[in-house]
Amino acid sequence: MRPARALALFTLGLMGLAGPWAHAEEEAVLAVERPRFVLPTPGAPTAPRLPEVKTTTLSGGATALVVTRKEIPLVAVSARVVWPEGNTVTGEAQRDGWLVNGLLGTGTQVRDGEALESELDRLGASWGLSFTSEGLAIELEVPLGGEDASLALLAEAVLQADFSRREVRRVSRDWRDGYAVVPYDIRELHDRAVNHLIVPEDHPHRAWDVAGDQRGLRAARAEALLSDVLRRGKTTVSVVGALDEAEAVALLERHLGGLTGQERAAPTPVYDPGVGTWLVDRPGFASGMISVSSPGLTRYDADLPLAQALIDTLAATFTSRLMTELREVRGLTYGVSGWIWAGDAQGRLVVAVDVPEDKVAEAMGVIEAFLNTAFAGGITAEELRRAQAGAAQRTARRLLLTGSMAPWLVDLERRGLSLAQHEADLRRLLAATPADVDRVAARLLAPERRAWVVAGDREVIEPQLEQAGREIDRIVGSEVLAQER
Amino acid sequence: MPGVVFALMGLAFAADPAMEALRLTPLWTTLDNGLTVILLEDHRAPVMALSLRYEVGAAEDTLPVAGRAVGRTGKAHLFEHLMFEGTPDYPSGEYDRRLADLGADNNAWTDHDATVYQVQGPIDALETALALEADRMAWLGEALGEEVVKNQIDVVINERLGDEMSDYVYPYYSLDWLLWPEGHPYRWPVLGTRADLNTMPREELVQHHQRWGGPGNATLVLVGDFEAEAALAMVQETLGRVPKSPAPPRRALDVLGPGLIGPWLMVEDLAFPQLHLAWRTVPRGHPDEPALDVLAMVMSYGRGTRLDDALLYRRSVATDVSVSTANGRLGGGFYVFVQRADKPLAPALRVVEREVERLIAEGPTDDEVRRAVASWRGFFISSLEDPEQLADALGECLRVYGDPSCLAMELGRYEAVTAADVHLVAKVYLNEDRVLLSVVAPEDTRFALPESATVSPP
Repeated sequence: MRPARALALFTLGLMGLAGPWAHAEEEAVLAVERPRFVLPTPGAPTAPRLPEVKTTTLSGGATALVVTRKEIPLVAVSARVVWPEGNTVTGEAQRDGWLVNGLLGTGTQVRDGEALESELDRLGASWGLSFTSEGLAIELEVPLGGEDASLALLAEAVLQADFSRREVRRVSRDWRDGYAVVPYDIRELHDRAVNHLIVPEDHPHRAWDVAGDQRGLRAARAEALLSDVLRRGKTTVSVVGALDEAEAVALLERHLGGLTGQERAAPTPVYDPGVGTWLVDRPGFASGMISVSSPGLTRYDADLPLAQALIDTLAATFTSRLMTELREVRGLTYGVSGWIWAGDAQGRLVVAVDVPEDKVAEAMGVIEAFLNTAFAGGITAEELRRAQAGAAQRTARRLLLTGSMAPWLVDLERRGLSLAQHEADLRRLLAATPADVDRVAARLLAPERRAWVVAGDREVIEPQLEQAGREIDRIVGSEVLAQER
Repeated sequence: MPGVVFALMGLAFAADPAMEALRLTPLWTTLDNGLTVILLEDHRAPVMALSLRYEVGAAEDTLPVAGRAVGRTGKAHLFEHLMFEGTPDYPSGEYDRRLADLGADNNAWTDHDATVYQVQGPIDALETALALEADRMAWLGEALGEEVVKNQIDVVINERLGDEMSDYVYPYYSLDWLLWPEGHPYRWPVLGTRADLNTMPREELVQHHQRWGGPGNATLVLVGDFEAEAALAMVQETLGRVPKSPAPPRRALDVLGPGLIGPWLMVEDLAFPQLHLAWRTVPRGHPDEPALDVLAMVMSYGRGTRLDDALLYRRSVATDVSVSTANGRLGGGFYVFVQRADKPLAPALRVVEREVERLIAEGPTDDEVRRAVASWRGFFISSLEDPEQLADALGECLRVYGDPSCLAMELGRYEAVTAADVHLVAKVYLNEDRVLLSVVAPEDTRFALPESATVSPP
């Protein structure tokens, strides 16, 4: 009987007619005997097993890290070449770096970009070439058997790069189009405002380009920069996958063994981050994007794992305080984000959320109250335990995927860190007490050090903020911000 | 029907290591209460992934009555949200907290065809995850207050607001509305319309669970560091104790008239004009599906592919191009997207039409097809690494081919595609019954295709 009745109810329900019948159905269901389920008591989280990392030096001086695992026929290769001055350059030199990034893979002295891409596709390779202030990055993941030919092509793309004027024009055009999109993109507007509020004008991290910067780009300058970085910058490479150590080292020697540079990155200049509240006016946006940033920790700070536990508890997980309050209790948002950015000289702790435009002040009030509460201490043992278990599992997952492990190893190594140190940090977190996290909260969440940015329709948002007694330090139009360095 | 347990650990590669690695034979059985169970041992790390797939999606939100869709859209997806809102024993938030206590993550997704709940975490979390899934399968609905429902409706409306704010998502609300005929469930967005969400009664959601949320309508897939027989015993002790339920009949492919060809115009606050073309193709698992996927890559997958070269690299006609396919239980689509910077869309359409005509007239080269097929091979091998992705793939295998061990066979379907196959599907499917849609900002309507009628997303 039940299925037939359920079908009738379903059909009536679709027509909006099922009301009283539905309650009767529920009562009938309650009468059915159903089992109860008791959950096991969780044990203490443990650090995952680390893989064996073999470290060697290639003939040119590059550091090579190899992890062998043959369960899946995949090979991942990751390489970094440091741009020694990348953290300190501004203006034209910085723009040259962006141009290199746009031109990598577009052609070599041997073949054009079309041939390069189609050859890599024929090998089933997933790959990437990029150039940032940190330097050159090569990423490759390829089914076993294709690694030699794929890495040869990527090495050629870098070591024998030939940037054409035609491709420079394409990059220039892409940048121009990119500038035109800024006033329409709430995330881009918001991120620009955060950058301009926090970072001083003359600092290299104040990296936003504007329309007009795409003019006068020169292929020769990009080639010169790339070649200089390859000559001087310290190189670190990793291979993870179905090759044993000898095979992996031979692969790297064949294609990247000639890299001889040893210069490390110059440190990023330290600055005093800006504070206050900015409103980016974009008429017509139906939602408001809110973020609040606090100065954080560098990647070398011993408290960094505890700061991660703090942001996990506050905003970065489904069970976090703000996700629970803003989404599950108040229904104000689809999701809350929280993250830590840790640079070599400075860091940031960020909470961000999108809410309907008429709920901006309410959401800001909730976030502020929760930050203040956390600043005053009081992370619970249960919250810490959850953060500890999450951290252990994140490490396990990173180690599981070839394509995420290879770049992780290489990034740790080039920053003078290591998997062993990561494990030591994790073990310290697993041994931490709530008081340890409270101490870090007191370091990071001081109310007077916060930078708030709201992007959305001023006509709707400004009155809310006024009514809530919030001072706005700057209101900037989207078109103005898009053109502001 | 238990099969041979296959472990990833210690695999010796044969002549074609990729194909060998994909030749998985998981343990596969059906419990007395109707739950289908697939178990695959993977001893690479002490982790596990759980995928619990209910055969109900947004397609079941509406029923065709006299050729029109009747029912409230967004129900299946909203219900997915409510699955996290608690039972008498584990109230709202407990599902997430209990899993997070063990370091496990969870997520869920709904499309037109299915609702899938996923957990991944340390192997120690398996028993807890199974017990929590069993608890909500058996008890959900009884702790669902009106306030909880109202709150999750607000959350979903905010999720939809995110779609509405995205220049790359919202146009597909219109495109699917035009592509699928009156009464076809794929016309409607999975998230539902605002009007339907705002009037969704709690009772309808409870009924949704009662009808679709039982073990007979679900498939559990576990991949991880367990012994399959021991894991099966754990499943018996948890989900196996949920009272038996049948698999309700699903909606059949009962409406298939023409789409609305257009040209159409959607006016949105976006930076650059967009041109969309869409054709109806084949359901998931159809023999032509691999050739259509290869065709999409021949048309747009970087330098040296037809539309990318014609629109981006050899000539700067567009700022962005993509070609994609989507194949569901009740049909498939083939989509072309072109974006231009402040210029009319008609010239871009002419380029697309010229390239499509060339493909129909001459077909692709063998080399183009080999390139695309090799990329597919890479995707398949890469998918083996992630237990969560693998669990979803095994469940999909069972649904589409009636066999969870389909991955090697599925790759074989792609590797068997020839230039002649791709030529044929181009001729058959890229026909004149295509939907044309311009999406432009209010101040840019001059860039739209001429003589376009206006459409508003549902």
